[in-house]
Amino acid sequence: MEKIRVIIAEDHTFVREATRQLLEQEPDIEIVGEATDGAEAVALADRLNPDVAIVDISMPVMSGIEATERIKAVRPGTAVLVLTQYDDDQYIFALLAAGAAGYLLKDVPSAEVVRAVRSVHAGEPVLHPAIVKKVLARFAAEAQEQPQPRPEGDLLTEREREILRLAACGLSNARIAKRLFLSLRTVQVHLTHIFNKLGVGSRTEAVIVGLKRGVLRMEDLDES
Amino acid sequence: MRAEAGASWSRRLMSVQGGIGILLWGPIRRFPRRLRERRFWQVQAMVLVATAPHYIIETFGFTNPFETVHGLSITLYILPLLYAALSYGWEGAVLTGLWAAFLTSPSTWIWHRSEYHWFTELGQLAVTLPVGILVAWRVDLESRQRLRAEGTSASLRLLNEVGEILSHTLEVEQQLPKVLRRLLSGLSLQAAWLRLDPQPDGGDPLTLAEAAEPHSPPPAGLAQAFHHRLVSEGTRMVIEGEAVAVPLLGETGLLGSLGATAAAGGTLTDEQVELLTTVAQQVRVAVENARLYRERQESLRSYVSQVTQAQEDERLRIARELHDDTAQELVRLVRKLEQLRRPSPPDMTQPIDDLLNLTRDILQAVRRYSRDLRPSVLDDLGLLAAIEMLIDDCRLPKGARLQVTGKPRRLDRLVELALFRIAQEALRNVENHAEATSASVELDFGQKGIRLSVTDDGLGFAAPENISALSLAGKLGLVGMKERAELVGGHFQLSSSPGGGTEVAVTVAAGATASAGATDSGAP
Repeated sequence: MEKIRVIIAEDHTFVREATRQLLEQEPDIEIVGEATDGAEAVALADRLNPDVAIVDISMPVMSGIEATERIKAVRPGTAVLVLTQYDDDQYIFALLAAGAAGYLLKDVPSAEVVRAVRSVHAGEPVLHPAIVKKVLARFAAEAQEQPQPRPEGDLLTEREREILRLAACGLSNARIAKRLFLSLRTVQVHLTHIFNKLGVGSRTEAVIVGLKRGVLRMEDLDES
Repeated sequence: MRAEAGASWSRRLMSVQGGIGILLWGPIRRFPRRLRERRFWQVQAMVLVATAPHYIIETFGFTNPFETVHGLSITLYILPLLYAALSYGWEGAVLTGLWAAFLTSPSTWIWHRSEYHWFTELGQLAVTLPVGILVAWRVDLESRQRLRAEGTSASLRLLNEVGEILSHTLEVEQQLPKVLRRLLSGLSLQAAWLRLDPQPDGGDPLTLAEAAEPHSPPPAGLAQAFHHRLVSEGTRMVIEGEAVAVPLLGETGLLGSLGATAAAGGTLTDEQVELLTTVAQQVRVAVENARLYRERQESLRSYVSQVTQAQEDERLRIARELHDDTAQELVRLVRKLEQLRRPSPPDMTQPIDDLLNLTRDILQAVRRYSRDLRPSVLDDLGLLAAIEMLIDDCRLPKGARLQVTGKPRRLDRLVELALFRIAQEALRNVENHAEATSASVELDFGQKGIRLSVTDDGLGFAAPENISALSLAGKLGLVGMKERAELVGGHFQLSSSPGGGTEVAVTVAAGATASAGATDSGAP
């Protein structure tokens, strides 16, 4: 099995070390690079094309928000996982809008960090469900305020839209498969198609972009 | 020594003689005017009428019982004489007296019946004329004093009015044209002007000129010319009694000058010149006070600005330190405890978990503390995100609502900080004092600037016209908001009424803070 290739961008040495140590213990994760500021992280992502970039918000030279945006611009396939001290919703909104796939506080148990890396790599959201709700409500409100020039409801097939809707409701791939009587493999293939069509790298992004572009509506999220 | 004393004495004598000359010259100059008055000639006719009985008695040689009264008719001169004295003053009495003496003289020298008869006439004249003239002199003196008193009171009134005009506002420069117009009307001058030199720290010279005639142009050129001459001479100048220029001498030197020209064909009296000098003093004091006040305000403002800035810098520093050092160390502690926990004996697992939870609680508190000091959201994401955060934190029963118009954009750092602090303080006020159920925050990102308003549906209060008066009422928060708004060139508005809620609004015009934006040291 191929290892998950990860870069870490963090200006505090001991936090970076600690993160590396706890990830290196995992057999399926490989740390391929470390950066100490935002600009370095962008350059590193561009050069190494990692699967996951772990990024801090407050970094010298370039903030994590801008770095996320640029990493997604040069390497759309890289999932950005934000590991930070800030717990303000506004950061979460800004980071998700910039294209981050997950958001974690630095003091969460180590096991959660490891799980988060695997989840964003698999395209699954790494957000507290309560926050997901808030984030989605906000993006849906913004999408309503600034209607798209043309509805893109026909961008996805009916099946893909259904899968995205369930993903937006927070269902895991396995549960989606069970509910739609599909194999897990088929769900993953559908999700890959959705990601490609929307030009995103994770489920979180797919939901946000889907809301922004009118593929999904807020009402879709209420039923489960 | 002696020669000097002698010279001084003779000078004094000359001045006394000169004084008498002046004393006489004034009334004598007025003689021709009296001769043109009809009533004056009627008085002289009365003298003639009074003389008639005397000559009748004299001619027909009536003795008893008229012998005793034949001088009485001369005594009757006192009536026209006093009338002339009261009506025409000293010169009227003198002219009438001379006329009476002239009419009586034939009787005293040529026409008398008895040898010593003329004593009676001369005696009568000697009593009548001095009494009349003495009365006239007194009347003259009194009326001149009355005139002078009236003049003084008019001058005082003028000074008082000028003082009032000047003290009306601290923007003295705006009041100066009014002062000039008041001088023109009060002293019947032809023109008046005022020139203020630029202040040492820059600015333009100010020349104000006013003419009494609405059609004639104000003599601005004259004002400048006089001022330049005054600068070289340094003292008051009176030019041929027709024009005067008075320096405005301040503590630091010449501030400017005040000047005037007499009405056409007239001259300026000493009183007018003195009055203009006093007005110049008033103007000088007012201008100096206003400048001093402005200087004080300016330095107070820059002091407040520096204190605010220092406080914000310090908050930022502590917030960053808490976030960058303390919080990171606590994260490190969390990781260490986790490492310790993994291979630990079972009886140690619980205590380590407790420690982990405690550490996470402390970390949470540190984050909150750092955010309260200075939310990094404001610096990283801008005003809108920071205000959204305030809205989320709002503790009102129905919460707070945010309404955004225009296209949100990042603003000058100091403006963002000021508006954030104002919104924070306003919402805190609403939560703590207004007994409101909800609040509404509006942010308008307009082309010409930004407007922030915080409105509540609470108790409200009687808002005073002058916000500074709120400090007396103990509402220092509002005064602070106003000051913060003004420090970034913004305009603060407060509207509230008892039972009608309160609205606090700040408008900052785009570009208002071009000069204020450079000093922030809080860049990440």
